[in-house]
Amino acid sequence: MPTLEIKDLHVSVEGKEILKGVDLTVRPHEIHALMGPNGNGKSTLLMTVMGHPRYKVTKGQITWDGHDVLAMGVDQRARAGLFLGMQYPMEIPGVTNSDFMKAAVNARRDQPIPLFSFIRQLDGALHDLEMKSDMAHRFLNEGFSGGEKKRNEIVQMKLLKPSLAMLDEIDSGLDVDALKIVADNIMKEFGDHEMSMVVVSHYERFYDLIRPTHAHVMVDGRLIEHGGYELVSRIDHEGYEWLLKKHGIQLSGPAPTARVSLSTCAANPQVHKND
Amino acid sequence: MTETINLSGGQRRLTIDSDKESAVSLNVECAAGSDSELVIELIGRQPLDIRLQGRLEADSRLVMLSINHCKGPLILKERHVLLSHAQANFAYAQFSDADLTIGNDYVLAEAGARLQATSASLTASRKQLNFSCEHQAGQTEAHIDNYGVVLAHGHCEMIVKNTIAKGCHKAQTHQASRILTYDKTAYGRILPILYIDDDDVQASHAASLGQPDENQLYYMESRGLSHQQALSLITIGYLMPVTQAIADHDVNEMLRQEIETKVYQQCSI
Repeated sequence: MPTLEIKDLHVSVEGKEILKGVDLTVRPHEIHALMGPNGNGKSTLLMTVMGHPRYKVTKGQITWDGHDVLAMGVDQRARAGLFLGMQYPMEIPGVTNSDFMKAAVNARRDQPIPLFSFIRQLDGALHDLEMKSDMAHRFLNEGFSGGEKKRNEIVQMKLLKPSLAMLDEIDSGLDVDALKIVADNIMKEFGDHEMSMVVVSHYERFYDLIRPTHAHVMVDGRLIEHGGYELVSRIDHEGYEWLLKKHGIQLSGPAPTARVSLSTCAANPQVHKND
Repeated sequence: MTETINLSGGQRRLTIDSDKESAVSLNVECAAGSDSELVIELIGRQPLDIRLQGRLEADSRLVMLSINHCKGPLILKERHVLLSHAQANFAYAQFSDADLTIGNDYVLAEAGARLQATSASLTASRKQLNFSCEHQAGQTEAHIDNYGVVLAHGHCEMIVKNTIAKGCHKAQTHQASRILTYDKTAYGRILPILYIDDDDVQASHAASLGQPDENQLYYMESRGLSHQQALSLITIGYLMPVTQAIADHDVNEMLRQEIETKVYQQCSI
């Protein structure tokens, strides 16, 4: 099974450096939690691995199974087994969920999937995520609620069976029951198929359901702290302040509260390193 | 060739071959209270000039789908008059490689008349679309929607004019024109015009012109679709509304395949 290796990754968006030297290795069967205040580079890291054209890699490398990811197009990365469940899935009017997913499945096959086989798989995935079957015929994410969009990302993940799933705040917009359904399906895929994961979330209750093997905290475009599940728990209870003090980092925006909260997540603070 | 088509219900199909007729004059008459569909397919390699006069009598309903397969340049000029509570749905599928000039006028002459006109154009040639809708009575309603995809070296111009005359209370008129350009050499122009001479009306216009959404393409490519496949799906979704005028699976599928083939063959961004 392949390993994702990120070395000294620097990424800029419209001339502004967002990632300032990220090193991360994700081995088979590992689940990595990626935490940190909003606006500090977590989504940028995932979008860059998946090849968003707006994110320019200025230094460093990313390899997947030894292959240079940065030399691959977005679609090649997907076909190589990378998957990004997006924080804000795009709405695409006029393109049905079903047509889109069939095209995505067929992109990985030499011969097109037989129609009935595809319908069976899609219906099964929709059923597992407790979504209405008419979702297949609706336009891709158009008019979906926030929760439906997130479930739909996992439906796609189930059909595409990636080797590395990157899930960017896939739990946001989900109620308690939906959170459990989504987490159960993620873990079923993780158990049924050889897969590794990088998961961005702000909430221990989600991490508690997927039990990460590794945890990292990103501040100001760098991974400043690494650990196991105990790091997730401590941040949930104590917030980021102790970490900022430990690493001599001062946030110029509103200071994070002792516990992680939505207001903290939305603060989008600017960061300055103490001299 | 001059022909009068009397519609009193059901579906009619008409094929006009430019290799046989270079100038065609049609009169389409919808009987009062009738409910009809008319599919006009244009084929042939030679230049073609069509003049169409339509009259929808009171309480009639007409759905008309015009599909242009002509290999030669086409000039299409239509004038339709809608009487009391007549309903018209005109759809124009323009995927021909040849030049096209459309100049269509719609007259909502009596109260309760309703118009929907939709065009979809996929072009690497020159397409000039002029639509004009005139409200001559109150309680009338019009929607004109144009969608264009312009490929390399293509040229697409949309000029849409909606006019509400004084005294046409409670009239509603709306237009939306959208052009996607798929190449630096593609040209698009939209000119929305509203002439409103009454206060008690609803009127709106929308226009957009630009390249396909980078984030939509990224999203689709992140699932393994190639750039061409993603572009093809987005284009089909963009242009397909024109086929929805008629609930005919064969016609819809034919148009869909035509869009798909053309996108794969021609688009290059």
